[in-house]
Amino acid sequence: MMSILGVMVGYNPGDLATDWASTVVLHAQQPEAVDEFVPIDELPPQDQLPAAPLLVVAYAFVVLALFAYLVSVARRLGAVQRDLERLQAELKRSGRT
Amino acid sequence: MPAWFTPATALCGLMFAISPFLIANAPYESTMGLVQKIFYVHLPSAWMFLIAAIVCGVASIRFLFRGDARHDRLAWAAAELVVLFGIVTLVTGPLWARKAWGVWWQWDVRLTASLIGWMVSVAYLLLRKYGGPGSDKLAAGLALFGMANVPFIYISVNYWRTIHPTTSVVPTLPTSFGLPLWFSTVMFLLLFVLLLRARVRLEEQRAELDELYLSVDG
Amino acid sequence: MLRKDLMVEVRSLEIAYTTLFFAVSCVLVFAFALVQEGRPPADGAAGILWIAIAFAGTLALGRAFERERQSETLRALLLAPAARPAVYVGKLLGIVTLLVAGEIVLVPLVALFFQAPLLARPIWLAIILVTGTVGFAAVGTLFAAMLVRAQSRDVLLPVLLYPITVPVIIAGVRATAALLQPEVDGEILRFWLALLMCFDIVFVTLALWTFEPLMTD
Repeated sequence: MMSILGVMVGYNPGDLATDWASTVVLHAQQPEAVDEFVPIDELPPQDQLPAAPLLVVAYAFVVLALFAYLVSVARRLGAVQRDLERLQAELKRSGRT
Repeated sequence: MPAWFTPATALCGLMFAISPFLIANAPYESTMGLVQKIFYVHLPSAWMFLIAAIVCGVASIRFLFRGDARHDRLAWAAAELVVLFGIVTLVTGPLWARKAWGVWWQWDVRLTASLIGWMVSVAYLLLRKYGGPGSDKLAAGLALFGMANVPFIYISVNYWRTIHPTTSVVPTLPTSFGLPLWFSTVMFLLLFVLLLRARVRLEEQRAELDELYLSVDG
Repeated sequence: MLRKDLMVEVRSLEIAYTTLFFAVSCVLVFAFALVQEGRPPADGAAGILWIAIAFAGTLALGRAFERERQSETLRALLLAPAARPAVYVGKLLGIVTLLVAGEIVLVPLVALFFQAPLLARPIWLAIILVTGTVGFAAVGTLFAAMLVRAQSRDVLLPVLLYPITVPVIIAGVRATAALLQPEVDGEILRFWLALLMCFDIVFVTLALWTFEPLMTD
């Protein structure tokens, strides 16, 4: 519920960081408060996330998603193709009535 | 399938094989380092997401006002691609954001509008699947409203305060970044066209099957 | 003839009463869930008001066209070619009236439970509510009308409606929230109101344009 309020309340064309009560709601949802863009090398070392896992997961996801869709289309196409052939064979047998 | 399909597929496969080398050789971005390389799949997917939504919308308009089933088939295929490229964009983005912005998600205009646009395409597919007869026209109406969202998503970063990069970033990229990006974009575009054609083929076969069933019953 | 018209009137009051009761129950559920020890969540009022409007609106839309489906009056009306946009506009005005009547009851209720000064600037609030309701109803009327003859229409209406109208709801909430501030930021308020009016114009135009092809077989 609070996240829904976060949507409603945090959506603002004004200054994101200094918006009134919504910052409380936003901060409550996020792992670390971000008031402005902080370049990553200026963060203390313990706050720095390793980038490699994120990168690998991202690329792996892209490949998997595209592949999964390809397989889905191929399977559906194969099923329809089989039905078509079966129906056409039946029609031929019954002499195209 | 048309004559260009198989050579185009081969070309696309080749591009996919080459792309890791181009991406790995691109320079590191100064503030974001390694994770910035997600850019080379995130941005093209986002563009395909928007292009697919436009294709779906335009095909829907033509279907609504002309009634030609070919446009409806194209619209349905395009809607599936909106869902596909939408998922890819909405997953790769947060993975990048986690490192670059420190948060997985921001309720800014672009992200919110993109999520909503994606949900519209899911609603389209639900309607086609469960809506029963006549749902092709209804879905076309929905796609129209969904397409109205697209320009909004694109220009929103330029007018609202947000962490997300604005549209002026891409045209001003140095060549060392630009080359892998454009390569990736052309590759995704080719993939988009191939997937669209294959999906439309599925619809065409289904239509043929329906007609055959009808002729048997009749 | 007169009896038939009377039945129609009573039926539409039935929709009004049940929709209103639903909206009030909605607000009560939010109140029970969110108000802890007499303290409501800060700035919750705007969001809850618009959620109640959205839910009640969806219900009202479904019910309003249920009647049409059962009596096939919609099909009969659509046979007159000149009347088609008028059918849409008529339905739209009916839904908007119903929702605004509901809002008149909802606003004091939400103001009470969530301790929000909703009634402090009633004219602005009225403008926000009407423009937001028109935007929501413009899409809702179109979708409800086109779903009249579809399967699973009760489930499909929210599925189709909410993604399209979420921007309207967001704008409505933000405008209302801006109005609830002790010092109203006029610029923000005008911005969200302008956006709401944009939505209204775009949605009503699109709906009028597509109503005829969507409703004809």
